[in-house]
Amino acid sequence: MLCKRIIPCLDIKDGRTVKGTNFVNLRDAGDPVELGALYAQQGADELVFLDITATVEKRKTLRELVNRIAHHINIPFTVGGGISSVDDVSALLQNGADKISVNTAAFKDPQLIHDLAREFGSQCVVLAIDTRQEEDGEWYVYLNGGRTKTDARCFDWAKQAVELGAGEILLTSMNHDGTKAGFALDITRKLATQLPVPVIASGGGGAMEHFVDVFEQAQADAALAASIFHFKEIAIPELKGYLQGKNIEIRPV
Amino acid sequence: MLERIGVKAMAINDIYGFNSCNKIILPGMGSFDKCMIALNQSGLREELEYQVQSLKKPFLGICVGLQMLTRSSEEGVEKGLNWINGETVRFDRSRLTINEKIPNMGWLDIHFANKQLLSDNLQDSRFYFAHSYHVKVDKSENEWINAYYGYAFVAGVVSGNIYGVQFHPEKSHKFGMQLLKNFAELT
Repeated sequence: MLCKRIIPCLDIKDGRTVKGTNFVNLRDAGDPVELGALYAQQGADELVFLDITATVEKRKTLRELVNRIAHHINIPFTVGGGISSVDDVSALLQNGADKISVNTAAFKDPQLIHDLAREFGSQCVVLAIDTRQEEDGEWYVYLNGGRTKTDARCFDWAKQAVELGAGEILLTSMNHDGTKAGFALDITRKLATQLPVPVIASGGGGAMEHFVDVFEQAQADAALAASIFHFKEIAIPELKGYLQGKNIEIRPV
Repeated sequence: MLERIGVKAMAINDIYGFNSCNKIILPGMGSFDKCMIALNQSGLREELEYQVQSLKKPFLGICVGLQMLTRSSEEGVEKGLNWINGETVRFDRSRLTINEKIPNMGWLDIHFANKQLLSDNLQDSRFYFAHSYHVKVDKSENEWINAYYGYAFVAGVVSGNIYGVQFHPEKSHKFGMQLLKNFAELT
């Protein structure tokens, strides 16, 4: 049986790992390559590196970073942040990334998803969605690292993206991100059970039972978290042992 | 990854590069057609076929690099290398449950159909897969490794000095490094 995946996420700014709460108040959490290698050794099933650097030098530095990660890490990793063209992706894959995640650029130009899937295959195209539940109860898509609201509904956009060729959805609930109060189970479940591609739940994982909930109740294929790992609140071997005890299929460390 | 297990490795950019190598790995990244076209246009194909088929240098295809060994793929229209009698097909949705998504993305147990080959220290091992297509071989003698996703599928093929794996040993942590080591130590 396919194992549920535990995925630490490393937000990168200017070459360092950072983490904020609800997308703001960034704290430094160390060297991303060292941290990634440590997680791989501890039993992480995959890693996600999101570059939130916003400089013109970004492309080159991201390639160099990806190259360094690929040389030090022996598990799969996804790279995201400001990717907007086939050429961007080609360079990142050549430097050793396994998958790339697209967000704002894909929303603005959905054809990008189609082009990437045709060029590199769906298995390497991850659609990242930042979503927030508004007072009307609907989940809306946000762009630009959560700064720009759109009128698009999360499920509709995810469905369209999958039809265009996205092979996986990385779903972040902005309501839950950084709160450590648990994942957004309802919207995760909706995507995970109604779309034919894997869904990675992100945002809100703060206790080991939250991971049980997101796998069992929300049917997520993978769960992503950042600060609980970076700040050593939960260790991956401990989390995996706990999940195993709850009869959730995981890859033993 | 090969350097980490103490194996010298180089990327081959021209036909002379083959002379410095006693084993060859063909990784695949991208769609079937893109990879076949890239290989055909690289100017390396003829020499690669000579190295593998005539000189019998041990060869390992990974992911699309495995699928390219078959004669065709449902993912595209290009002809494959046809070194292994078989074809590449999309996962059969009708045989998967609702919880078995396509792509198959993540870690699966593998089983050696042929336990004699490169299986040292790989009992109860898991590997990382990321694929929507898998190979079907005409003859069971070419089955090397199986895995199960909705149904049993061929996750590794073998034919003499030619090996191919659907999963990514380079991304499969300790077991992946062990498999690469087993391949590197082939004589």
